[in-house]
Amino acid sequence: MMSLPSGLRFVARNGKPWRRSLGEIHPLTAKHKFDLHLPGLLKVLAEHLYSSKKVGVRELIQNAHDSCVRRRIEANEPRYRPRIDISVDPAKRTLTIRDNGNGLTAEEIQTYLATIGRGYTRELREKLSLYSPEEASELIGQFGLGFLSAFLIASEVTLTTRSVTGTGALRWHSVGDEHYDLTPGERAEVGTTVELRVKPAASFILKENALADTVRTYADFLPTPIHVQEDDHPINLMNPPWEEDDPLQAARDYVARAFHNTEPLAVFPLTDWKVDIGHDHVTVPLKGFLFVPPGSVASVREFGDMTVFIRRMFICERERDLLPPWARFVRGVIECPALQPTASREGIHQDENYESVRQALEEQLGQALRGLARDDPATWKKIVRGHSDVIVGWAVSDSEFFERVEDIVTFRTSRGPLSLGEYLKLTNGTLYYVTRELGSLQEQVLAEGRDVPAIDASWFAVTPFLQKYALRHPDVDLVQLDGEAEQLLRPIKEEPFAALLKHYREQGVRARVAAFRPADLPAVVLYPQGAELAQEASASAEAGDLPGPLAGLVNEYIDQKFGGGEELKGTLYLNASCPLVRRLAEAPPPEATRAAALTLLHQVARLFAGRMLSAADAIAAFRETTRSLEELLKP
Amino acid sequence: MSAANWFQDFERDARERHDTERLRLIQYGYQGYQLREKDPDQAFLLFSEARQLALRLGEPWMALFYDERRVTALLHFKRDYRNVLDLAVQAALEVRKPQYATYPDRFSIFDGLIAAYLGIDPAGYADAVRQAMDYLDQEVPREPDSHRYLLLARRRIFCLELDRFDEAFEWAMKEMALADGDRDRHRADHFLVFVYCALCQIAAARADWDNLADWSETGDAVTRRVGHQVELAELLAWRAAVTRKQGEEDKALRLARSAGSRQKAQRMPPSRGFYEGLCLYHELGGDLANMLAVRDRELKDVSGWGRLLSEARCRVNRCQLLRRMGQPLETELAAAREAVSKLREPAPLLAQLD
Repeated sequence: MMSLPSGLRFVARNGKPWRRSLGEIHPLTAKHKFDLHLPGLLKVLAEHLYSSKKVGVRELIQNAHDSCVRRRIEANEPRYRPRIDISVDPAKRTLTIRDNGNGLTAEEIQTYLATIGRGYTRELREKLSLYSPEEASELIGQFGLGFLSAFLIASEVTLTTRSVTGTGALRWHSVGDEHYDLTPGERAEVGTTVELRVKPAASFILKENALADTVRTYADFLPTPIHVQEDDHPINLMNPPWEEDDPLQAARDYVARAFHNTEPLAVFPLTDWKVDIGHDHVTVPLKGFLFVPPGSVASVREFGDMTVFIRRMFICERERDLLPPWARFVRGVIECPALQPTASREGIHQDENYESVRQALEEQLGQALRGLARDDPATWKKIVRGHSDVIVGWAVSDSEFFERVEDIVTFRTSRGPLSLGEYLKLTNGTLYYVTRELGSLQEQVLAEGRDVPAIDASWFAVTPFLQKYALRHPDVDLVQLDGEAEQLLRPIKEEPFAALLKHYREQGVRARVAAFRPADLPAVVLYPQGAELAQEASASAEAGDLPGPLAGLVNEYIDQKFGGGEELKGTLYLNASCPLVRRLAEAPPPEATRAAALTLLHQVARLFAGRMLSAADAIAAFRETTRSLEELLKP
Repeated sequence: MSAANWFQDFERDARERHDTERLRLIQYGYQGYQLREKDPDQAFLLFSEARQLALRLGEPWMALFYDERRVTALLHFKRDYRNVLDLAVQAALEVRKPQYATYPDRFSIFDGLIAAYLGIDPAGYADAVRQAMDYLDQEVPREPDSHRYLLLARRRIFCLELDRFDEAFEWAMKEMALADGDRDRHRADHFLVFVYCALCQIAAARADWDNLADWSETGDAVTRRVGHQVELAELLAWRAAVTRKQGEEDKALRLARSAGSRQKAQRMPPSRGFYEGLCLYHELGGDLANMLAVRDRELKDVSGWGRLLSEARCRVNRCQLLRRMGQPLETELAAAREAVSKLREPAPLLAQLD
């Protein structure tokens, strides 16, 4: 906070120099006081406290609003109608904010306007909070710093004011240094006008649209009507959706207006909420709503964001820590006086109140979603399907939620999106999945050959989800096709194919015979899980590019996992259901032709597997293929 | 460039460019770490998602960083060792590629590989692990640095897992000395938490009650400062045992309950010291039934997670306890033998069973 024992003041031009000599104020034996370099401090506050120049407009609107509230509370004028007018004059480069609030006396200018860190509004609120908390909550100002922000956008500020107390009009003028002029002014009606001469760097605000957007962003819910460029209709909504007669519809309208025509799947109104803080309970004052957008393209989209208002004044959007991590498919707008804004009021302090608000939101959201799943399963289904990637990730680590979504959430499969319930009907109780985005075509073909779709589990949370599902349903089997595709093959007696196997054995190829579909597929090469890793480890060992002792640890792993490493070369499975393979076994052509055909089958199967092949391997495979074809084409 | 500097630079750069995707990428790291105790599963998933995002954004260093984080989450947050070697080896093989020649956190990747073996079967891979630690010893700066702390911790854990308490004590003292000279008090305190937990285990094994009292209390204070809940539960368990030894039954009971409830609030499984502390507490009260309940809980936490030594040792401890209680042993003995037989060096534990 900025308040110092005697306040930190602008100094009227006719007053003493702002800085006294060191000897004058610092007797060597006395208790010393901090000294201040006022112009430097002004520069820091005006130019660095706020991250956006637009905040200057917000602060001035808020001062105007507080002034109107103050007049309503203090002046006892039943017919009083508050109003704020904002206008720009691009030719003169001025921005003017005019209110019909209570105005300022010379003393108030001296005590509050020109004393940094001291604000009348805060003091009035503290007084009011004792006997009129409702009125206190209408006041926004807090730190006594807001007026300084005028210098974010202005090189020169002129304030003309007439107090409701009946004193004469005053003119306050400053060019942003440590001095100001205070002289009699000209203004007939009660209220205040602030005229800013806009800096070149803030020229954007001179455009009418930019001004209107800024006002809407910051002051949409302020109850005081704000008129831009003398328009008859106020630009701000004045009432937040949760204060409307039909808050749900108003919230939907607001979402459509503020979030690019989004039609939410569901809206959950927020209410005050009692949270358990361990040794006690506290009630968190909460207004606003949460909503679920129609869908998310990917989990990394910017969902889970909250827009935060405090005393109806916009503080920030994209506040991402208020909702629990799993709720990234939810967005919301909240009004919560318990949250403490930072001095710039562009963010929120993450203090114990923040924790309580977060807890209240998590509990209300959890309750709302459970209620929706129970009472409106159709909407619930839409939500789960629209945000399946995000929800799958959440469900993996939340068993209660998992139960609610396990049969609704959809997965990408080789036959389009399917829920596990729908999927299991097709596969007779087994979940077949592939974890690799590339190189899984062979496995998918094998699966489709068995008339079952394969689940694409390349998204990080899918495999743990399927594992959890299989754990909860002991009758469901889980087969990872890349690495365990043998489970799609049916063992058969190999004797009738002994000659074919002998040929491969002589070539140093591990070969087996099994029956699988589609029958047109003569052979596949299957590799164990982790085969690529083992191959890379062996390449690393050969190249010696891992330090010896660490390579030792890697080799321990490879030895333990793959033993001698023979299976890493892959196993060729001939398809006993394939007419061509049967013909080669039962009615063999001449030896040379059969050898060429078998080589051809092997190399095509290797290429089809799409794994464990270097470029050199692939070239060699094509060379073998060509040679075999030439052999077959010999007259 | 240190890993921390690289991470901070990346974040600053993303912030300056208003690159929300890359900022999100950074936030996953913070969020995952914050969740490590309360929800380690979610932490692991966040790191996994971050890795996919890094690949999508064409950020191979970040992808590798999150590979390492995933290993860390499995090892230290979830204590799930079933497939951790797959990931640790994969990361170690990845980092040797030319594009990672100047990657600033190679140490953590190699450290993950060592820690994986330490959690699975440290005696079985003792030579390879020792050689790897000796190698890293040459690579890591001597002065206070996270990597130096981690390496000393691995050496201390290695000895503790093999019940070589005197050697473990020596390493712990070196960690203390390192922390004494560390200007970064937050970092020093973070690592000291684990040192105090280990010292309590060592003191208990030596029946050194004075030091157990001192270390558990000091460790408690340091841990509260740092905020690690799982380690705090462990130190409270040791304090409960010491307090009971001192004859303060009511206070000891409060401490034991506090240890239990604090641990219960976290989903990260506790480390060995937590169970040992609580068992000692119950043993001092002659309460073998509750001691068995602690061992049962330990068994539930360690079995089926690829922690071969932890499971085997827990089963052996249970058999010894059941024998003291005069309860039937056959089934438990068979299960213990099977668990021990999975170790590469089963002889010492088999001898205890015989």
